[in-house]
Amino acid sequence: MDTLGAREERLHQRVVELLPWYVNGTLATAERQTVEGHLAGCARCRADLDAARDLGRAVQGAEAVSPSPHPVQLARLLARIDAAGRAAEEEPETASLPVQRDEPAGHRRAAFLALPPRRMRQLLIVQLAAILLLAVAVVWQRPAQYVTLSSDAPVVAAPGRLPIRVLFAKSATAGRIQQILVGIDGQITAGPSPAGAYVVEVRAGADPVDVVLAYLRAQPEVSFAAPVAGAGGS
Amino acid sequence: MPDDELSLLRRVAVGDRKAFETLYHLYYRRLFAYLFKVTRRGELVEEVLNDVMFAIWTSAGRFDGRSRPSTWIFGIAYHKALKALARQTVGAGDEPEREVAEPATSDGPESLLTRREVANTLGKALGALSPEQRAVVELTYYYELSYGEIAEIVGCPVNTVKTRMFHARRRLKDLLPGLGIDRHTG
Repeated sequence: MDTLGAREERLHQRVVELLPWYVNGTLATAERQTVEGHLAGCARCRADLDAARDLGRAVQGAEAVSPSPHPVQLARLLARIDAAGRAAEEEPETASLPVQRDEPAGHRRAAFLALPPRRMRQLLIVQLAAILLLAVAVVWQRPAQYVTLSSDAPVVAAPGRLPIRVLFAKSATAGRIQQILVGIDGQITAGPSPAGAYVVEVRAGADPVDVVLAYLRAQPEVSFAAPVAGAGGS
Repeated sequence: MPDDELSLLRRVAVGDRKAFETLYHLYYRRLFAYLFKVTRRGELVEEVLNDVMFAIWTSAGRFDGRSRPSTWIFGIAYHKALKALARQTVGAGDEPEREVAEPATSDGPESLLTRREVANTLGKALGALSPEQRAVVELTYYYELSYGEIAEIVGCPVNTVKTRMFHARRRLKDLLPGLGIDRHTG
């Protein structure tokens, strides 16, 4: 039933499909021999082979765009990994933990607190208390500075910018602060207070705010980082 | 070296950050070039690459070692790239398929085309293919992979790979008259 012509045509079709891999030299021996056997007697396939070789040469010759990695990209990625790790460890009941009143109650703080081992959490609460004390100290020393972050003279963040309050450690050098800012693509727009609090604005939507915060909190030179109350964000 | 990459992946699977950073540096340029070739959208590449590396971090434990690490990683990159392109297309509603290459100089042999013009024309022609077809063309000719490896990367049967390549060649033949790709003798 199967005519010789139909078989030949099927073989031809099979060889036509294999030509690109004949050209790149990855065919198994048996297939390569099949292709070569057919090529000898098929002018159409030889023309197709020329075309496949031309295309191969052109694609090979095209320049590859491959810049070296920028440290900021890796820093962002690691911050994202940190944030994901924290989210994965989050426990449902932590969502109801009391939050500081000038913070928008929500998952950010809960995520910050959420580390399952009890001792870790206690330790964190102690640390958080210390940080809040420090924050209170900032308020105490410079009420006017703090007010600008909340109600009377609200922080005028440019459209599409998200203000974050950042307290750098005393050990932070200008160079490191610069690096950290580059890492979040942020700009200092206010501060410092005597205790070192700055308002840093990042582009809203460039990175999820949790990622930015996780990145900041992962830096030894950052003592405190939180979105400015009432300034929106996600 | 594949062995090194394998041990790196195994270490990443148990949360080894140093190994992850090494893998990141090992793959960054390769992935960048590959993602650019598949998407042809420079503005997308960085974000997709970040997604790819994040997926490697979270799912390295699922790498079963049956394929080469690079095959597995390029497979992730391929799927992330397609997803990103789909998101863009839905958002922008553009029609990349209608982009047609400029005709090459019609009155002369292919030698009239400079290398750069060839690259330009080729780039446009590749840009007119679907990303699925483009990936097969690049993986075959630029990365010199077998159709079996390509099938693993793109996650489809080998016959689909062959068919995509067949249609891509037909399309490119129409789009690249100056490359000698339609140089028929009989």
